[in-house]
Amino acid sequence: MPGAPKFYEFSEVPVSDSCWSLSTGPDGRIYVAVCSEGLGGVGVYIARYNDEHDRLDYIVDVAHAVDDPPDSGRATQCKIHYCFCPSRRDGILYAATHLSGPALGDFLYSPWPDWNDPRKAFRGAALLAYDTKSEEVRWWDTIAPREGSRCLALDEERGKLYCVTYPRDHFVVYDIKTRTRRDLGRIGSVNSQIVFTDRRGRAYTSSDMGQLVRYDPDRDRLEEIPVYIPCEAYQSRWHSVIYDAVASPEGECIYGVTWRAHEHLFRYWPEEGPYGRMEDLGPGTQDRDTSFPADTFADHTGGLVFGADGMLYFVHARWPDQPLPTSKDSVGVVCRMNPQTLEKREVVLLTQEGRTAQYVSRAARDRFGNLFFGHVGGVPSGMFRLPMDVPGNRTDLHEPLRTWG
Amino acid sequence: MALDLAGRTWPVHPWKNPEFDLKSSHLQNTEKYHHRGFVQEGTMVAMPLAFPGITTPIPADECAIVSLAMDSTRMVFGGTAGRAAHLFAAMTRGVTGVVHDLGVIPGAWACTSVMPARDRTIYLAASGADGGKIYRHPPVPWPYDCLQEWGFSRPGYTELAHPFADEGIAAAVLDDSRRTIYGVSDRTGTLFGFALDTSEVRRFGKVDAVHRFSRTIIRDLRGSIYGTACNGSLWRFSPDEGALVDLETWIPCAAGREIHNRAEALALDPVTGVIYGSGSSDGFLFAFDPASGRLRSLGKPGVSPTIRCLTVGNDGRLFGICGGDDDIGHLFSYDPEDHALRDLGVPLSLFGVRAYGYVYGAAITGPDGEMFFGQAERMGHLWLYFPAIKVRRPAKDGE
Repeated sequence: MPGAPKFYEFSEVPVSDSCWSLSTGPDGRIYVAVCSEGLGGVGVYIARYNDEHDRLDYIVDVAHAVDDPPDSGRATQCKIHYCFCPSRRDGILYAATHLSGPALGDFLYSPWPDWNDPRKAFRGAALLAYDTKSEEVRWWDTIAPREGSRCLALDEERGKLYCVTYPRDHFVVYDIKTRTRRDLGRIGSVNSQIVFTDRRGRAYTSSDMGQLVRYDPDRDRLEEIPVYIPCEAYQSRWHSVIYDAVASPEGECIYGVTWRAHEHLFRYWPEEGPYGRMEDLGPGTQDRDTSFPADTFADHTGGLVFGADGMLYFVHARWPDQPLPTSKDSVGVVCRMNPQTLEKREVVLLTQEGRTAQYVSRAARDRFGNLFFGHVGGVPSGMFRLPMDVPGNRTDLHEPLRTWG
Repeated sequence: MALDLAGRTWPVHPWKNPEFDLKSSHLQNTEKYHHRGFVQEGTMVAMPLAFPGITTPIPADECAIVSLAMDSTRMVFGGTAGRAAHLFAAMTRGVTGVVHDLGVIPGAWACTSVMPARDRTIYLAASGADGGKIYRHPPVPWPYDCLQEWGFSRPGYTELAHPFADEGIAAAVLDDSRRTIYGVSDRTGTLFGFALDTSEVRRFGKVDAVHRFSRTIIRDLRGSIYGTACNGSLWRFSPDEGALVDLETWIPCAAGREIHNRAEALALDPVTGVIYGSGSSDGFLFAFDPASGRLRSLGKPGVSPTIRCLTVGNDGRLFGICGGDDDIGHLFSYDPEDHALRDLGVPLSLFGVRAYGYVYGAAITGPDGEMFFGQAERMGHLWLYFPAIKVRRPAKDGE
C-alpha cells in the first residue's frame, strides 16, 4: 500500500513552471525535467532524486550542454517533453528537448509565424546522451531542426530513437550509431503525446483521428493501421491521440490513456493478429456537463506506472460535485487498477499546500519500488514521491525499464 | 556532480517589468499574436481525400497532390505522388462533398498532369519505374445524392502512349483543338507531342541542353507553350510552326543566382493572357505578357525560396502558397491593380477537418472564384479557399 505522498519543489529553479518529463534512469534512480516554458530566457535542467539524502540534485544545465544558451535571442531549450529514454545496455539516459519558451525578454513564442526567422526561431530539438555512470553529457545532436520533440521512444535492440515533432507532427527515426536522422513525414496536426514500442520493436503513435500509426522497422514502413483509440460515444474520434502509455510487466500489452477531455483508458495487445487488439477500459475521470469544452488541464489522466505489486497506478483529476471541471478546483488522485479484474480504486490524494496537483504528466518507479509523479503547474513546479510498502531490501525494483518518454 | 544554482539570477517576465505600462494599447492584442499567423483573409476548408465518414482516404505516402484540373462540369481531378500515384475526382457541387479515389495508376509514382478534355475524358501524364506514360480515364459520372444514396465506379485506366522508357513526364498540357498532348520529359527535357487521334508521338527537341529546365509548363491563350531553360530563360513552343524558341528573357532572381533559377509554378490569367510564375532560386514572382513579350518582377511574397503553386482568381488577383518540403507554407496574394503583395498566413482549416496545412503542390480556380490547393505531404487533403469579397465603400462626394 502507498504511504503519504511528499512534494519536492524545484526550489533551485524558482522560475520553473512545469515538469513534463520524469523517468527511471538505467541506474534505477529517478530523473526529472525542470522546465520553464512561460518565462523567456530560461533553459531546462535535469534533476535526479537523491535517495540517500532525500533531495533533488540538479545535474544538467541542458541549454548550455547543447550550446544553445537561454540568452541566444531565440526561443529557448525550455523543456524536455515526454522525451526521456533510458538505455540499460550502456547506462545512457537519452533526452530530447522541446520548444515553447520565448526568447529572453519576449512575451511569448509561436513556432508558426517565427518559423523562417533564424534570429527568433527555435534552433531545433536537441538530443542528448547523458551517461548516468560517468555523470556527463557524452554527446548531443539535433534530432528535429526548427521543431520541438514532443515524445521519444528507444529501441535498444536496433539502436534507434523515434520522435514526433512539433508543430509539424512529423515522425523521425534517429540512428544512434551513425547519428543520422530520417524524417518519414507528417502524421497529422494534433501531436500524439507518446511513441511506444512492442516486443518486436515496432513503434506506435496515433493520428488526429485516433488511429494507430505504426512504424515497422523490418519493413521500414510507417503506416496507419485499422485500430482506433476509444472515446466517448458523444464525441468524434478527432483528438483521440494517446497521452500516456505503459507496458504491462510482462510486456505483452500496453495500458494507455488519451489526451482529450473525457479521456479514455485503454489496453492494447499489439501481437494479436496483424494489427493488434484494442480494449476500451472506460473514461478516466468522472461524468460532467458534456456541453462544456473542458480543457485537458482540468479533465486529465496521466502518470501511468506499474507498481512492484503488479498493479497499474495512474493519477486522474477529480473535481467537486459540479458539472464543469476547472483546473483551479480539480485535485489529483492516485488510482490503482487491478489488471486482472480491471477494478479501479482511488488510493491517495496528491496534495501540497497552496497548489493543485491535477495534472500529472508522467510517473516512474525507482529501484526501491517507490513511485514518482511529475507535475505541471505552479511556480516553482515540482514532483511527488509516493513511498510504497515494498517488502525486502531489493534495489532492482525499477525493472522492467520503460524505454519511452 | 550537482550544479550549484544558488547564485543564479533569473529573468523577470515582461508582464512583471515595473517599467512597462501593461495597459498600453501596444499590448492589447498580444493574445492574438498566435492566431494572426494563420489565414487572415478568406476561408480555407480541407476536404479529406475520401467520402467523409464512408471510405478510408487515399493512403498516407500516396496522397501528395501534384496536379489539379477541372472539367466542364466543375468536377475537380487531382493526381498524386508517393509510393503509388492515384487519380481522384473531387466533387464539391450538388449533393456531393466527396473525393472519389479512382485508383492506383499502374506502376506510377507520380501523376504529374491531369488534363480533362471537352468531352470529359481525362488524360493523364504519369511517371514511374517504367518511365513516362500517357493514360486515359473515361468521364466520371456525377453520383446520385451523396447524402442518402449514391453510386460510384472505378473503371481503371487505358495506357495510350509510352513516350519515354527511361525517364518520366515532368508536365503535360492538352491542346483540345489540336487533339494533342504536349509535354516535357523530366530528366532530359525532351519536348514531345502526342496526337490523340493517331497515337503518334513526335519529339521536338530538348528545351535545355544541361537539364536545368522547369518541370512545369503552361499554355497561353493562343496555344503556345512556355517553360524555362537554364538560367531561368523562357522558351516558347508554337505548335503551328513546330518551333521551339529561346525568348532570351530571364525570369527574376537575386543577383547572380540565375544558374539556380527555373520556373517552379506557372499560372495563366484567362482574361488578360498574362502568365504568372515563380522562380526556384529565391522565390521571386514574375508576370510575363506573351503578347508584348514583357516580363516584370513582382517581388517576393515570403521568406521561403519555394513557390510550387499559383492560380489566378476571378477578380484578377494572383494567389499562391510559398514554402517547400521543410517549410510551413504561407498563402499569399498579389493584386495587379495596386501591385500589393500580401502574406495571408499559414493555411488552416476549421470546418469539417481541423488541420494545419504546410506543403502544397498544385492549385486551380473554379468558376465562382473558389480555389483548390493540393496538399503535398505524407498525409493531406484537398484544400478549398474562398477568398474574401471586397467590401463596398460609399462613394465620396464628386465620384
